[in-house]
Amino acid sequence: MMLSIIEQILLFIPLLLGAYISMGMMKISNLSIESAYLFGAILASNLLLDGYTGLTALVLAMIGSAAGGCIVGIIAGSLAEKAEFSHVLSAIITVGLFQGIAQMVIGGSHITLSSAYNPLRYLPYVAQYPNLVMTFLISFFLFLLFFIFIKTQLGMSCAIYGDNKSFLMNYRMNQSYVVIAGLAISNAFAGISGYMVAQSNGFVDLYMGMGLPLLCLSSLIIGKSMRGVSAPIQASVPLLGAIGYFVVQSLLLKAGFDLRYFIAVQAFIVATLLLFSSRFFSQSSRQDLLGI
Amino acid sequence: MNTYLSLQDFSFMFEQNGQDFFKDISLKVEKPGLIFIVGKNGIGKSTFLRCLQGIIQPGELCSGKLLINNKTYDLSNTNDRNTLRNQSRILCQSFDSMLVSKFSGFENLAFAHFEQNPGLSLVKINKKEQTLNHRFKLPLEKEVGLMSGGQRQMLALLMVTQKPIDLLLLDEPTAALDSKNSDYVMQGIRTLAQEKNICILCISHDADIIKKYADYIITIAENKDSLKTFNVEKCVELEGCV
Repeated sequence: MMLSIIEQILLFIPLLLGAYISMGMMKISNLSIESAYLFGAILASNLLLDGYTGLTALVLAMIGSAAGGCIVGIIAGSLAEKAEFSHVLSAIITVGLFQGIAQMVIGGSHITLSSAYNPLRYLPYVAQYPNLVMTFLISFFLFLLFFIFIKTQLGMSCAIYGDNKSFLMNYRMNQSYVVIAGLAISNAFAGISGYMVAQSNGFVDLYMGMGLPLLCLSSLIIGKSMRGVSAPIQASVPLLGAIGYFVVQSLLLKAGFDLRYFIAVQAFIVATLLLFSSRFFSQSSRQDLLGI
Repeated sequence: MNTYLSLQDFSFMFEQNGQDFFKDISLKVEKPGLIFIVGKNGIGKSTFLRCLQGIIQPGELCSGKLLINNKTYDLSNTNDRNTLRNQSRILCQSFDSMLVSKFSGFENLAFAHFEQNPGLSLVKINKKEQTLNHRFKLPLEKEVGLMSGGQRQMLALLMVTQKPIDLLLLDEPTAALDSKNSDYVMQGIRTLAQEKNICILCISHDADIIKKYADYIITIAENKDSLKTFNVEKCVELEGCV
């Protein structure tokens, strides 16, 4: 049970790191994250089904899944910045587009990975928990990348965009570039998470991304309320969010709650915390939270 | 005689009404310093400032030659106007749009150095007080949203002058400030003009401020034929120049 919760947390950490960049820092309602999650899993799975093994398979799976998410982010960002659609509309269009593409690529409702090499079992000397150790290493590596990213000019520009959009224009910075690059990086993290979850489950499901924006929102809100202070960039929020979310989930499970209805609990958590946002986050505006 | 800033045959019109708003205006300013633009409401002070920054909107026509710090810009040429926009900065009345309120003053100063396409280079937050920043006694370690109006205004001014520029344009910088903060900000503006050796053009309706701080005054008026006239007055002595 405990190991299963830890593995769940580790699998979802990359997703929440990505969601934190777009929703927490850029304050964009990034609904396209669900397509990035799915498309990342599809691209990586297709590469693995081509028969690669060993380190090559691991590297290709990581690059493929990141590229899958990245493409979704670029499309969603370009629609918002170049075609000047609202972020919600551009995300809706992107989700529709990639749902169709995914259906075309998969050719059915799922891809099974049982015949492909499993890169999460790459480390032979941790045979007892191979998936867990590899997932930990990947999530740790991605967290390091995230930690460095939020200290770069591009990372901070994403947070500036979330706080004051006109700042970028006033200082002659390229807003389109910041939004597109920010969404691409955010969704690349989600793509990797999608692949890891698919690999862990042994299959890619066409509807595996459904409801993810709500999962991200509730986790990040839990993370923010656990962290307490309202600094613009807090690397610990996605980590605390992932832990908090799965702890709540397992507590409910232990209390006999049917997890099929857990999505309703997520909605309840988001709505309640937002309704009382000023009390929880010492911020007057709930629009200031997570792009909602 | 040397000229730091000059405008030759400057004309501006709104295409919609087809009439010249400004016609064949020429003016010269010899040295960098603090230049006030005065004139009644609606005379075109803000439009003039916008043209000097090279911001021409669709449906507007602008022509003339602008010389600043030995560089000449053709205001009818889009490329020249884009270059001019990089060499000048405008600080509007809503100066908070120039700041990121959730971050500290030190971080905001670092943001002002960001490239046009920010890359993956790490941001260095310089927490050592620079000479000029130190003189304005800004609490730079504080979150910007918690600073006073005057301090935020001053920080915005420092930020727009972090990269080398030739021209700084200010639209009523003290309009929202009380007299104490106005003096604090105006002294800062004057110091910036002297230390950075740039021209600062400033719209103001405050006669006391103008009297106290102006190096030059450009008065925009309308003659009997409804044509705009520009008169540049050098304030040799600070007192009695209005």
